[in-house]
Amino acid sequence: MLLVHLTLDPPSCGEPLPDDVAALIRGCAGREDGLEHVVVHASATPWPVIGVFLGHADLVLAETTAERLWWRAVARRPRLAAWRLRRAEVPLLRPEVLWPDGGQV
Amino acid sequence: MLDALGLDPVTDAVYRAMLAHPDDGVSELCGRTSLAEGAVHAALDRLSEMALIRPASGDTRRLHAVRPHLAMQILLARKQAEVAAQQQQLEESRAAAVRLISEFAGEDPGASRGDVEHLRGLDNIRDHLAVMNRTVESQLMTFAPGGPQTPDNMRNSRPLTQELLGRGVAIRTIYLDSIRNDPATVAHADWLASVGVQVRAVPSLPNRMIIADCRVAIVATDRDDTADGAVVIRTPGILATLCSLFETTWQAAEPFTSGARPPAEEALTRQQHEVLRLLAQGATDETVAKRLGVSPRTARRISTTLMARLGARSRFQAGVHAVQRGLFGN
Repeated sequence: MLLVHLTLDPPSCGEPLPDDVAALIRGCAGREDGLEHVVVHASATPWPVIGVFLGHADLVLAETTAERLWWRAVARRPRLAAWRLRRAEVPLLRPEVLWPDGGQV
Repeated sequence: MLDALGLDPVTDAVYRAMLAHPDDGVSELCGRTSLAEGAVHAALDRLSEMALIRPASGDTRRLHAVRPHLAMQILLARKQAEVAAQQQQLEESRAAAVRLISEFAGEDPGASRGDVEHLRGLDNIRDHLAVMNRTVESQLMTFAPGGPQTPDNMRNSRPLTQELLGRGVAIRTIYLDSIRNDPATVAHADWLASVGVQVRAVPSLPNRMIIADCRVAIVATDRDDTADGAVVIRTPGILATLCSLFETTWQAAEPFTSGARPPAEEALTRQQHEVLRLLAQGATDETVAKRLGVSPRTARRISTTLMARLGARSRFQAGVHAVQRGLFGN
């Protein structure tokens, strides 16, 4: 399972992401997408982020699937097009948090 | 809360299960961790959040969004995990093989009795060489006495040579001077040199011998009939002696190509020589600077000059290229 972060550029009016965006993305996924979990970090700075967990072992496939899910959500809810997708990338978890003895990166 | 970054036991358990079983989905993680689905989802929320933030340097109270990290880093981490899993599989296979061998040890007169093993006949020797070629990791050193090989043999050996070099194995072979008279062998030696094998020649060699990684050696039992049998040696003390013998012979040997010696422009200053030696050991510019007593900037300049000269894309590669081109040999 891989985590992909969808990083979004909010519209200039400052409108927050809709509350149901996670449910919307879940609703766009088919079995073949391998979607496992969606979490929205609406107040992340500098840009809001949606975390998408996908049951893929392949990084490129996971990233393209997450991006495709976002575009499907935009197609279903055209208002979402106001949030520009900056990137869809697997982030690196903080090693110094996960392995306290491992030192800083 | 974004500033509460302690890793709670539930998140820790989910994360470790994810690392150990990358193919698992939420339901499998529930089974492995004995957690309810809601708890696993909450842990995933938290992991996503932790990937999002990190303390600003010098100020642990402020948090910055993590910059997009190179996918390569993640791919590399995953590849390392795969290699570790394969390594474990290999260890298990090896243990099984050892058990099997010990069960049949009494029935095989040629079986190993420790650090030294006798091989009888060419087929047995070739079987062992095949294993050695598959398992060698860093260097292969060969004494190759005897006359020229047949053109077919030389041609057939090329894919294996390329495979070994592709794995990063440094190959050094010492032939007899006498086979300089054979044009096919000289052409083959030129090919070997062109792909990165180091080939030298001496007037005489003590015996046929191949040493892999200074950990195992195969030496012919009869120097006058090298197909008769061989001894596999893993005794550290004997190997140290054989490696030392190889190095001494190598130092005294002459490059074996139609162009003979390497061009004079390859000569290095003593300082460059030392920098390359350090880079080949994985030293950083800072370490090089300390060892040479120069500023890090100077060390960086020397390193980049050497990299450009050797056509290397990294410092370590520069060191490896220098080894492959025999720049440490004289």
